Formats: sequence, structure tokens, C-alpha cells
Amino acid sequence: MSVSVRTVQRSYSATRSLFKDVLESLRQPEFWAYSSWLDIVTRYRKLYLGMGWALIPPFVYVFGLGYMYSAISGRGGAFISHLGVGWALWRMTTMVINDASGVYTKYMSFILDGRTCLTDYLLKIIAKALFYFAFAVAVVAVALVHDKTVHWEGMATVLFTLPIYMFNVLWLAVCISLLGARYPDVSEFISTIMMFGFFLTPILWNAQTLPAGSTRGMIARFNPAFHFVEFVRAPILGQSLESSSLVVVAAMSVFGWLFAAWLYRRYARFVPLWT
Amino acid sequence: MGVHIRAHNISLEVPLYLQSERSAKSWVKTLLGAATARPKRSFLRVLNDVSFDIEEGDRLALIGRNGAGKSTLLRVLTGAFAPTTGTLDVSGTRQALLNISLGFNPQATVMENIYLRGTAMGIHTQDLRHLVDPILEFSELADVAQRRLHTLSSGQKMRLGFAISTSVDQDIILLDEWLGAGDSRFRARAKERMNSRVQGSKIVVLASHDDTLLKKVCNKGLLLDKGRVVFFGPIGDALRRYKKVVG
Repeated sequence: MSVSVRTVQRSYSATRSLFKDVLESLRQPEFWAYSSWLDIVTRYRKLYLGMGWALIPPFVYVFGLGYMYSAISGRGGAFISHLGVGWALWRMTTMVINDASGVYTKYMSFILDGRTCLTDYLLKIIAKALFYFAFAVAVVAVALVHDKTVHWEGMATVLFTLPIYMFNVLWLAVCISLLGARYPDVSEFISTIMMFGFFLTPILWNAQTLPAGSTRGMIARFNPAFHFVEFVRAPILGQSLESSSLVVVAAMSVFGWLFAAWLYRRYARFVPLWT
Repeated sequence: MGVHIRAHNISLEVPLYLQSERSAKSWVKTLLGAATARPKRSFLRVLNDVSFDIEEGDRLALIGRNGAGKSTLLRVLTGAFAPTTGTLDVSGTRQALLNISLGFNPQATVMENIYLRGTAMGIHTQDLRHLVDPILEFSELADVAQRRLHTLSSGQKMRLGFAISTSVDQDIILLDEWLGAGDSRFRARAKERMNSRVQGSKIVVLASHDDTLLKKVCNKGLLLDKGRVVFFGPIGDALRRYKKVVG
């Protein structure tokens, strides 16, 4: 057998730079994109309904829960789109965070073989979460089309807000994956706070019901997810975005990335030893 | 720039979790103790001031008793473990043949697993297309290419892992014990494949306890004891020193 093969030469250095690694992973997507796709495909292969199952949870949450809570909240059909967008974002984020806490342990055999570009594994879990997000978006789109309060001209903001949202999900995944590799307690902690976070984030309720001036409103605004969900959703649904939300999103984008970059530079090299 | 490995004063400390020792007076206490005792985290120096230079054409044997640090040093050479102190300079493409049956997706087909492992090795998908048939042929798994991996026997999986890992020539090959897999028929072919890969590569690092094999393959030997280099030089001298150490 004589096939000439070019293999990707990964950069080797003891301290790793987050930005360099992210760019390298994006330039060489074959491994993480393929293995992520394989995880999804093999999951549904055994099922009679196949990938239909990816549509069922969003449908149940958005229309089932939405139907019940639209009456409870007294907002009618508009509530379904409110819940749908919020839930889709929340689920995608939860998936990434949950997966991130144990990601390096899961792929240790690849890491020990010398595939030490850790962002490959993070992009893999983000790609998976985005795949499910796309299905949720398809379901939510149905709700949006039937909702007369939706501002279609506001939809264009998604092109801007969603990448910023994902940009923040990535730094969060970096931090949680590194902390999770060092302290396995992180994954327990995350499953504990996620349910709590869901109820503290305006998904089943409206931000306006807890105005910024009130005590409860202030408590709710300590939750960063509050601002991120509002940041993406409010322009679509024609609601006004609190300026404090913009400030929080901007600050988190900058400081979150700086923190993640520092953490990665300092600790990424220890990950193979920790797990 | 030629292919080389240059290690200078490499030390590696690894964190360890130790359960505190307790005198067990009754089995109830043993059980409760196991549940409540918190492990203590401490550091162990597994490699201590390891230095060596190898150039293109060298075949290096890692010699030493169990726990001397051979496998750890291989992990450092693959790039997985970053040295705590010291510098490592590696030039050339590397392929570690340390755990050839790990990293499969059991629910995916044999064919899909070839792509998975191939891309993990850094082979581009367009090149992989040409490698799939030779890999299936070598591992004698062409008949079951569309079957899910978990339906294969462990011997078949080993064969597949071996065929994928050794499918391309690399500049540097890192080996923890010589690879052999499968039944006697396959083993003969595996031996032939390994020989050709070793010949096709520019540097080989091989950790093994098999003197005859080391003498046959390697020209240099690095003798490790408790993480320190005891001897680095020609293979014959290294093996003689090792015999003295073992006693």
C-alpha cells in the first residue's frame, strides 16, 4: 500500500493559547465535526422514529407547556413564542454546560494520544448543542409565524445577537471544562443549579413582572442568563431591552473571554494529568 | 529541518489522590471509613531531570522496571503531558501507538469508525477515502464494514485499531510494547506491517521488556529508574547496565 498522506501537524507548545487553539480548531474541523455528527447519528439509528425524536422535545415544551402557561400567564398566544425562544436558548446552553463539565474525561483517550488541542472537544459539544438548537428553532418558527405580535423586522438582530450569545457560550464552556477537569464536583454543582437557573430566568415568566427597581427584580437581574436571554429575545418579540442588559452582555463578553483566556493559558496543559 | 527529539532536563510531577490508611477494627468501620475518608491530594515526581537527544535514523529503547516512568515519558513525547520543568523539542509528525483500541464509537459502523479514528489522527478526509479499502483489507473486515462496531469480537476490534493506527507512515513512532494483535495468521501480517512502519519512520521510541526485540530494532537505549536516567547510550551497553540494576 503506498498512499501518500498528509497529516495535520498540530502546533506543540507547553502553554496553550485559547485564541490560537480556537482558530486552529476552526481551520481543522474534520475531526470534531465528524465525531460530533457521528454521536448524533448513532443515537437515532436505533430508534424507529429516528431523528423525529429531535423534534419531539421542542414540540412538547413549546406547544405543550406553552399552551398551559399561556393561560396561567394570561398573555395568550404571544407567550408561546416568548417561552419557545427562551427555552431553545436555555436548552442549548444547558447542553453545552453539562457536557463541558466532563468533556475531557470523556475524550481522554484522544487527548492522551496527543490530540491536545482542547478546543476541538469544546467545539464538538457546541456543534452537537447547535444541532439540537436548529431543530428547536424549526419548532419555534412555527409558533412565531402564528404570533401576530412578533416583530419580523426585529428578526434581523438575531444575525448579530446570536453570534454574540454563542461567543459567550464558548468562553463559559472553556471555564467549566477546565474547572470540571480539576474538580469533578463541578458537574454535580451544575446539575443542581441548572433547574434553579431555569426558574430564575425569564422563560416561564416575563421580565416586566419583576421591574428592575423592585427587590425581586434586582435579585433576578443578578442572574447573567436573564440578560443574555433578553438580549436575543426582546428585539424579536418587539419588547424593549433594558440598557442594563446590554451593559451586562458587553461586560461579560470582554471579561469572560479575558478570564477564559487566562484560565486556558495557565491550566490547559494540566488537563491530561488531572483526568 | 530534520526530524529530531530533544529533551532537556524534563521533570514531571503528577497529582495523586491517596486514601489515608486506617486500621480497620471491624468490617462496619471499614465500610464507613471508605465512605467518609477524604482522599488527600499530593504530588509525585514521576520523571526527574530526563535529558536526551535523538536524531533522524535513531531507534530508541526505553528500558526500566515496571513503574520506572517509561510509559509516562512516552506520554510526554506524544505531547499529552506537558513537562513541569525542562524543555522538549520535537520536530516531525508523530504517531503514538499506545492504546490502539481506544477512541472508537461502538454504535457506529466499522466504516464510520475508520473515518473517526482517521480524522483523529489528523488525516484529511479526502486522503482517508483512499485508505479505507486498504484498512478493511488488512484487518480482514471488509465483509463486516457496514456492521456496528459493538457487534465485532474483541480480536476483530484490535485488528481494526491496529490497521488504522499503522495505516500511514509517520516521522516518529512511539510504541509502548511491540504491537501484535489477533490470531496467528493476523499476527504474522501485523509483524510484517510493524517492520515496514518502523523502517519507514525516521525515529522510533519503543518501551519494552523484550531484550531480543530491543536489540533487533533499536540502536540506542535509555535506562530509567524511578524517573531518572541511569544510562543513555548504545543499546548493548544499556541492556547490560539494566541487567546489573535488576540484579
